[in-house]
Amino acid sequence: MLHDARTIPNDTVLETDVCIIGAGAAGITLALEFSGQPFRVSVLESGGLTADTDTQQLATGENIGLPYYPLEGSRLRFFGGTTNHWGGTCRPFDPIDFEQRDWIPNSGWPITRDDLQPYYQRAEPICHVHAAGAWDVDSWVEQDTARPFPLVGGRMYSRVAQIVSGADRRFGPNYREAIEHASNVTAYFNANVLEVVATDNLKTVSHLRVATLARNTFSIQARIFILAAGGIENARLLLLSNKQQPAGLANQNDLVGRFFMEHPRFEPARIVPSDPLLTTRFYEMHHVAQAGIKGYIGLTPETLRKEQMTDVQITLDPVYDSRLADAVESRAVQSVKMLLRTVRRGTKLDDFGAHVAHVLSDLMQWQSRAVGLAPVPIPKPEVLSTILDSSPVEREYLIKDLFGDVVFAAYADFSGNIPLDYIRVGTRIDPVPNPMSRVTLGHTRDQLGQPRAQLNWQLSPLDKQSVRRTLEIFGAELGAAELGRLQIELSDDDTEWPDDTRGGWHHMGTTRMSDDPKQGVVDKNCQVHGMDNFFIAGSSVFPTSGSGTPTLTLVSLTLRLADHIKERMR
Amino acid sequence: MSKPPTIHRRQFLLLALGLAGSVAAGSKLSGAAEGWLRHGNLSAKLTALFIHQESAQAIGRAYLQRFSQEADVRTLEDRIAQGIAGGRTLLVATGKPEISKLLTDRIRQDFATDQIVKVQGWILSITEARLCALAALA
Repeated sequence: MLHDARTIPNDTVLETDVCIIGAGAAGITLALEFSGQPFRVSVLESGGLTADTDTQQLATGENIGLPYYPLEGSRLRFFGGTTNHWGGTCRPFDPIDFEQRDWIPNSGWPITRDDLQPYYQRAEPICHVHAAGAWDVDSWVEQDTARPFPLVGGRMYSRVAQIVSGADRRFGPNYREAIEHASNVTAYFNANVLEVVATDNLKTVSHLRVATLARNTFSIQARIFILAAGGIENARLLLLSNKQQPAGLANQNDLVGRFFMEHPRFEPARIVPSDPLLTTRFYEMHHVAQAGIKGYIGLTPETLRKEQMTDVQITLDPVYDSRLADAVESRAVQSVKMLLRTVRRGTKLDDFGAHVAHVLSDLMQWQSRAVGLAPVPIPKPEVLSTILDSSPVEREYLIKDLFGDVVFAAYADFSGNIPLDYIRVGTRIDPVPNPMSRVTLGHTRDQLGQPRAQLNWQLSPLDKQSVRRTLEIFGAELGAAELGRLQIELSDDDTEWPDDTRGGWHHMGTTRMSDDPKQGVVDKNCQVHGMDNFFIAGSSVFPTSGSGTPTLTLVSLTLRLADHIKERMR
Repeated sequence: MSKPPTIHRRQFLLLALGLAGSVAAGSKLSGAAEGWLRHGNLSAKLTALFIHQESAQAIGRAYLQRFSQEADVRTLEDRIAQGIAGGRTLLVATGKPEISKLLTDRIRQDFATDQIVKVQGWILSITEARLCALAALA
């Protein structure tokens, strides 16, 4: 059932069995899992079925750390949450992501990759992953005509992410009908939780205070409460719930809001390929048997351990010679193609003369190397000899020099590849958990009178050191494979970040998971330490951000939590 | 101290072509010239492999800005030769196509064993950087 909370009379006390705060990827996954179960479920969603400006303004916040997107742009407050602008990239975390690593402070999950594996399998269809279980290059090599780089050093290898296609990414439209028709599930829209209220001993959540922008307020009681409002909002709500515990509910160890993590990315390097016709197609978004995949390059776990680094992934974007890209579209190139087709067919075009004129006007530079007084430019014999005697790579450039961009572009087009100018190298970091990177309450207030979230995003010197060392290793691997040379464009100051540093709208770590209450807000079952009926779902519980993208993992974790709750409710 | 010249990506591409091209193209010299190169001046032999001398010199100058202690022809020749089985003796006695192959094999091995150096951010094999340095001193 779907219900507009703006129609609930003031001071109403709703009752349910399981109350979910938030209807993003985690909240919707929980609602789906609880559908048909022998207990009542209520979902409280701040927004409506579609975006509206007033509600979205509730997501506005302050930023006092590293440059970041406006908070109201990086998270969405309507049904489906941030899946409404999800890029669709799916990749599970690696086993090493869950390990405690001595060189990465605050690393380590209280669960292993194996613990989560059955839930990854269940999460794949929910996230609309096309090829279940196909997460390594070997799964694709037989079908994919695009090839990964033949790296030979053994320290890096090509990886694969699957890209969910557009409409399949939106949890809201995809699952609205299922939730609407679930008889035991009621979703309340336009319902903004103001406070989580606990019993006097702070061990049990007794109810939530809820308000709408229409100014009606009500409360909801439940046996179990699950906070699933996103990596920034989960922390904010706990900090706002500070009447009984001044530092915020569940914040007795000053952990709520700390360890905020993003996946910082920037483009600190470029590759000059040995062969300008080297293809990077494997590392661009492409389809293989209807699945969207995109390759990237990462360090092997053995290298990460040996080098004592955090994980850095490498993306590759080709930059084509702009002169040639322009020339491909030029009239002269089209004319060359048509001339050749005409010669092959042995037929004539009505505007044949015009095509010849176009080609001649572009090729006037042949004159110094052409036989004099010829009606059309004919290269001198020694010029032709030099071209014929050259290596294939040299021949490309000699042709370009001698015959001009027009013919080279036509040659490249017919040969099937456009020559590269260079390859832009991007890096994406799995950052070191940093307690100084945090979400707190800001100084401005939203339309409901609540302090807004304040973000202070910080990174660590090891993050940048890891980027630099990863690029050095990559440069060596490229050289050993004779693929090209790499230039690193990164300052040596490990506290300074490039101007193009940005995140991926991944908000993680602010209510992290640990079996030790002094190290985490929730335990391995996502239950808030010290409270018997309060759980947190989503990427805010991640202790580390992992090499993969968060959505598939947070849905997997949520499925594990759902099983735990179902067991509790038995 | 003046800043080293910026090495543009095109210069590196041409350098890479130079080494690759010299292996692929082979030697088309006259017999006398071939004989001179086979037994002549080692530095001249090594740097003759570059098609684009200016590029090699620019890279070499940048390398020597960082490693000024190697700004000596004999020192560079010896260090390049150290990485080749057969050493200086072999290099002196070997002709152009064979030297090209020895050097490109060595460069590949440098990368495989992290014998690399950063020159203005470019990750180079130590051997190729020293070859460029030789060109710069020519």
